[in-house]
Amino acid sequence: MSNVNTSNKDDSKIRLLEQELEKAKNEAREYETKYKYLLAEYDNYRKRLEKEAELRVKHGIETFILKLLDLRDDYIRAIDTVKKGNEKSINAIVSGLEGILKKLDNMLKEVGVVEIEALGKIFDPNLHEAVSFTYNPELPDLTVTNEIRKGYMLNDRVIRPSLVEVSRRPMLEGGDGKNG
Amino acid sequence: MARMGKIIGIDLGTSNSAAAVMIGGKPVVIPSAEGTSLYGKSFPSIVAFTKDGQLLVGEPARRQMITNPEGTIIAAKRKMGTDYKFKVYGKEYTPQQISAFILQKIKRDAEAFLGEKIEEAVITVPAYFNDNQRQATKDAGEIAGLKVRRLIPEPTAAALAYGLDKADKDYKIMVFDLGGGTLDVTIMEMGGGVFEVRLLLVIHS
Repeated sequence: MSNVNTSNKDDSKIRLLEQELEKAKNEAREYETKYKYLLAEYDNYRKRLEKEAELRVKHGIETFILKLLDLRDDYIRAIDTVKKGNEKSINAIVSGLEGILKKLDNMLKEVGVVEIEALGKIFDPNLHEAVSFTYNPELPDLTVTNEIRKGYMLNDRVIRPSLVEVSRRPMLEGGDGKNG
Repeated sequence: MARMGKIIGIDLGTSNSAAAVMIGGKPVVIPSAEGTSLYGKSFPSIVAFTKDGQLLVGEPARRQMITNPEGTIIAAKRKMGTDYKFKVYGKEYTPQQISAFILQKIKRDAEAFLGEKIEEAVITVPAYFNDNQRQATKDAGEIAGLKVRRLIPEPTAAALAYGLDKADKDYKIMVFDLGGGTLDVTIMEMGGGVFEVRLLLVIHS
């Protein structure tokens, strides 16, 4: 009798475990499906973002190029004027070219390009790039004495540092910490 | 479950350095915070101390080199694993400390780019680096606050980028690493995810 009892107990335990196993398997399958679904969705989302970013860049360039084309027309007109011109028209040509430059500067300003100030300022490696220096006892050390190429920032980021020459104070004897 | 932080991969080069991170299964190069540099997304491995005590790393350090040669340190990687000390304005720095300044900048840039704390990194080292040089690179990482999970030989990293560790057959490959400071040519054999360097040629500029 006790043997039968034990065997019954075992059977029901096995049934219970089988049920639990089945439940766990179902859950695992469910999670796997959800996981795969989410993974696919994430991948699609990433692709969409990449595509959108690409489109944004393309459209941005398009707007900018339209402005450039406008400028190109002006430039062609200027060349025609030069070809047809005589000595008297030099003033007109110069003012025309200045007009184009102004237009170009405005266009750059509109897209967030700002000129970096350099001449007479104290050299700042975050904005300027030193290409040479001259000794000058009258100026504060590292004063920008010559701007070789203008530098620009785009929305607070340096896109091209100014190329500059700077002054250095001549080293006094026993002074400036030259090291070994 | 503990949230896993991102691990960045760092190419700590003799002339230039760069870092990347895996985003959505793809490596993305971390842009340098100070904007476009001469070398695209990587930046020069240059550290400078100005007379007024400023520390400059990367592009700004390069831009002021000519006015401050005594305060500018280039190619610290060449001294890694040696007892050499850089002497600048009365202070001494080990090659590890100088490399740590570069790694700190990378850590900062990565944190700004990803918007989260970065505490772990994998750094590539030349295949010819000895134990001292490898340890020095690890130490530089620790000084910079990065736990260095692994040091990977540079040619192995290049092979990994092409997925050659997952290939089902054995390969013998040649890796050219035309760097700013050195040209390394490595012939490697690989099979079952194991890389073995067979021949190594290093030319220093």
